[in-house]
Amino acid sequence: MTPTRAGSTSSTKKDPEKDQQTTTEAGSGNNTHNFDALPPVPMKAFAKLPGWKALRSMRTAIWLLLALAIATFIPTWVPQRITNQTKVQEFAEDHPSWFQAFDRLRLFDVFDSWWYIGIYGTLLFVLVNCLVPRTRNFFRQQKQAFATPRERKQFPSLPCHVEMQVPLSPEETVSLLKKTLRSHRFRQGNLNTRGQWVAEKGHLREGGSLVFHWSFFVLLLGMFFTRAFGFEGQVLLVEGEHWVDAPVNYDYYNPGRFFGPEDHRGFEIAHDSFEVRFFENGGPADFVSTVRVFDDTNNNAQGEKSQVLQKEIRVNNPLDYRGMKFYQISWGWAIRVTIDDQNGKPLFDDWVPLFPGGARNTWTGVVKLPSLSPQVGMELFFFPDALLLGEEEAADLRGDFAGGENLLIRLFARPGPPTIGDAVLLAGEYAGDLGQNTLFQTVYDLRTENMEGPLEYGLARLSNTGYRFADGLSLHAPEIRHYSVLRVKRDPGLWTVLIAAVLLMFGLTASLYISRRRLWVWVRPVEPDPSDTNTATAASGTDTKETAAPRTPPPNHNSTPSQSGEKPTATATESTTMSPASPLSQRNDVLSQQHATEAAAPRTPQTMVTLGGLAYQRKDAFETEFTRLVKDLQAKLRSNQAHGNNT
Amino acid sequence: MSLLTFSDISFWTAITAYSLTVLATFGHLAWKTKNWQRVSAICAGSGLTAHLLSLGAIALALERAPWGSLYEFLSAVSALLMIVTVSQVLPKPELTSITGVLTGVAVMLMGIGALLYAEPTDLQPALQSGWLAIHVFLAIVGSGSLLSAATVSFLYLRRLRYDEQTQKNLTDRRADSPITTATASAIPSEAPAFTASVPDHTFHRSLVTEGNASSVLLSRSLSAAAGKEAGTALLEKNQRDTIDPTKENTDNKQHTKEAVNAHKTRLPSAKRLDTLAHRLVTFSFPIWTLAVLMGAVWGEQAWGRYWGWDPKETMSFIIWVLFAGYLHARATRGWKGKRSAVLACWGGGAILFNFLFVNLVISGLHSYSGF
Amino acid sequence: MSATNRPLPDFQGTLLDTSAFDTAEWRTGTLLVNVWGSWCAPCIREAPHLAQTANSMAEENVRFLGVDIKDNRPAAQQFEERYSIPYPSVFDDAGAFAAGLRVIAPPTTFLVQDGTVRTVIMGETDSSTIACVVRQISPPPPAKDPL
Repeated sequence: MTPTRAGSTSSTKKDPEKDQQTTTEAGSGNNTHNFDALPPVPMKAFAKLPGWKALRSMRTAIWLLLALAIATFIPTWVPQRITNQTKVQEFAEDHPSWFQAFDRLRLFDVFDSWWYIGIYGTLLFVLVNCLVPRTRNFFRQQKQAFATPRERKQFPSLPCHVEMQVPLSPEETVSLLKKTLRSHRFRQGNLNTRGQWVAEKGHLREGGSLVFHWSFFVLLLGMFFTRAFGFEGQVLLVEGEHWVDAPVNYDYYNPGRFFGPEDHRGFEIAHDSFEVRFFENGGPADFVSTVRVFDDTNNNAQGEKSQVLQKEIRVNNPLDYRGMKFYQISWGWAIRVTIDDQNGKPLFDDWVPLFPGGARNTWTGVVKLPSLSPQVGMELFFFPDALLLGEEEAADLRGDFAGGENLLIRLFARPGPPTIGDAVLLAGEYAGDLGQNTLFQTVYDLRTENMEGPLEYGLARLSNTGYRFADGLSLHAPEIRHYSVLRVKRDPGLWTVLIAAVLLMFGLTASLYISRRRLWVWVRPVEPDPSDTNTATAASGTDTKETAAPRTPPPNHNSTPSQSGEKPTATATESTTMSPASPLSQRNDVLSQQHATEAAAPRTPQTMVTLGGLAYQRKDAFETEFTRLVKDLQAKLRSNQAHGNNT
Repeated sequence: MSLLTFSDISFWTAITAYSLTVLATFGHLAWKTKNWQRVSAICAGSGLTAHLLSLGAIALALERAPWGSLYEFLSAVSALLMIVTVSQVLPKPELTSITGVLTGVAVMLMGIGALLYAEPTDLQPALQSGWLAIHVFLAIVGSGSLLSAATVSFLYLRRLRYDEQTQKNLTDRRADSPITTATASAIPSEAPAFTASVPDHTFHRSLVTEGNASSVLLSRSLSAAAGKEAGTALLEKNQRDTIDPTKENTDNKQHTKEAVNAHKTRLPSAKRLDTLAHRLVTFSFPIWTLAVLMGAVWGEQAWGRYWGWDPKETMSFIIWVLFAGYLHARATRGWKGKRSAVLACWGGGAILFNFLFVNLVISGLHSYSGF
Repeated sequence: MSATNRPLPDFQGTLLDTSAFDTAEWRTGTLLVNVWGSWCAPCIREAPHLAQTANSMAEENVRFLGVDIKDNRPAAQQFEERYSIPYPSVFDDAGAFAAGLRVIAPPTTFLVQDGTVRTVIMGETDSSTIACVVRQISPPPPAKDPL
């Protein structure tokens, strides 16, 4: 008895619980199981809850996807703290009341906000609600092909079908067919008493879809690992600087929930040199940070470190040491600034990192002297390759200029790589309250709201010309070096995320590119016609053994009209023998051939085989496949015959 | 002549050829110019050849993949759009009428690219990686085909609107016209592939049912003259019947409006457009997914983080979600058809936003591809 | 707290005045270690408190030590002068000492007894807190009889 699932018939009726479109088959109406159907929900108590149906429906999922898309659009317009902390601060200062309102709605941290998490959390909940029954269903399906076999009159309604008469006994035919179908990787159902069974292919479509959807949970797991047990930071290293891996030494530090100082390796890095190589047109070709790593490899109590390795860190080529990865992010100039008081006592002597300024080949930086009274701040402008001019000289020349009173600096826009030529440092002096207790600022920001200035602009040159300010401070810029910004991170969830991505891709490709196909087979013995007396041998092995051409019916029976429109004649040409489109003439062919065969053959048992197939997706590809299958079958029959004759 | 100059010349040749394609389509739609199809095909084909040569020249000259700047990128995307058009739309008689629209989109992208022209140069370190070829290539193929799917969906909506309008006019007029049902049964309802039009009341049944009619006539006509000839014959026959001569002067204004809207009847059938859009999305959605994932892998290699919600990544995610919604909608009763097409259109909008706005206006790690 | 009950890390370096420093010499008695930087706003705020407390405990055999991180010597010395810091500070430019102490960010204050870290104060602190913390392990000397 053909196994049928208890739920199969109900699923094709108007099931109000199922709001998925079922693919309709041409000419079908009943008794064909729908691959997409959700099994009926067992009537547990929670299933009767009012919202439950919504929480597992596709419709809800679509609305949630839409909501997700809209919610994700917000960060395009509103600055986010994770990407641009400074812009958020600016917003806060420019529009304080809007800022309050937006911040309450968490518009500056969209991806961490309760409502965004709510959207994708609900989506995941709906997903798992759909996935669990469908996965269960899928595994159950693998044990059986449960479509019901077709009745004779239903075969012609299939887009691809063929009827053949085969000079074998029914049992042999069945085994031959089953073997052939198996070699074409069809999964087959059981033979029923009427000689019918069903073969199916393309289960990976559903399988792939399940893998795809489950992989989101794997992704989530990976992200959880990273966020909980990993960390991320950034460090700015000037050439020649030594640095030890510890939370305190990062310029930007973001540890995972369960990541603490003890999880740091504590090794030391010496940044030996940084190199920028340029193309001829001035664009950067390569950034290379050469570093040496020192670590306590002997685990001695002294904690003495020795050199472990040397590496050139480049973009696309990070340093990977003991689970910590260092990536080359950016670079800049760090200028050594010394400031002395009027008596020559040093007040400041450090490498000040400079960042790209507005104009071409200009850099800006900040020096703060909080221990002076009043506090002093300096706004630095650095021009690596500049020319000092007086006003009259400048009047005749073209180019970009910068500067203060009585002072003009022409910025060289020389083609080619930027070089350190006649470098100039301009320092605008401010005095007052740096606002470190009241105004938001990083080490690289100078807030001048509570300061007077710029009081004057001092100019120092790399060639060691200094400047003495009016209040007695003297400024020098004796040296310049590069600095390199490295992102450091430890990412325990990385491999999990990668696996999730791979699963996702395989699942998605399978779920979209594989089509579900079904074949219905019907084998029955043919009563030999007693009136036939001709005994042409079966050993002729000619085409008379082949029977009717695979019949593809007039296009009107195809489930998609467009397909028929495209190639009604094309399919006819693909069949092994040409058949005009008229059904009537085809039938005549069958009968005449049948007749010839019967007339020619001796009384070997004859079996009639009807084979019909349908693809739920990629229907045109299936026609090719079907034809190939039939050809294979006929070839096997021929070889079978040959063998049979040889014995 | 240097390779780069050759590239520029080919680029402009391509734009010109494409513009001629658009004009040819226009000519057909407006004035039923003869041989428009042949002109379209020749122009589109030669334009595409020139276009590919243009990209190839950049690749040869700089020994890298030809998509390092926004200009090159837009050129590549429009080339892909044209490949889709020339392979999937142009050869099929029931779809060729939309060639012009798709080519128009390509021309628009190339035009914008030309405005943002920057001479192709060597790339900065972050972009010097094999990933450039893979990730951006996939992004080009994915977004290009999704964009064509969105365009087709847009046309589908126009066509659907027209069908509904006509149906509405028809039911309005049925009240007063005695002739309505006379010829209804004679002609097949959805004489599908070859019918570009769903004209008035003679075919009104097709508006109501969806493809379940007897197509005896169709099969006969097909067997009578196999292939394209039959198709074209039927096509022209249907077009002649667009304005029903039996209606006379019942409503002059209606008549004129119909004449104006006549071009819409030359769009392929709604169902055909729907199928094409669905196929395009099915094909390209995994490619877009792969492009995004490859981008993440590259980001991890280069910057140490696979996802940072920078504007481009965010926008790519939005595009992905919208088309995922489209695919789900196709399997949901009530969302198939119009609503899913709307989602696809929004996806197309998001793609254009991603190309233009995100690259140019907003800055982020991805702004290599900007100015 | 992860840093507590751990030994004071080994470190050899220099003080701000460039004289040598070795933690070996600081492993006896009660020690208060304060990690700071001249650029750090909360450190500026707590500096007077530290100075005052250090001075008041001068006779009690409670030593104070500063650890100056991410800084330059002139600026740090200027800071010491400005706030009259009476105790020496280590110049920890690579951050190795602070790393050993498991500092997350300055200012952080450690109470060390006989070479083992007992208490950690994270963030800005004041005189009373420091005094309280010190008193937990080192009771005040008996008040001197005015006679």
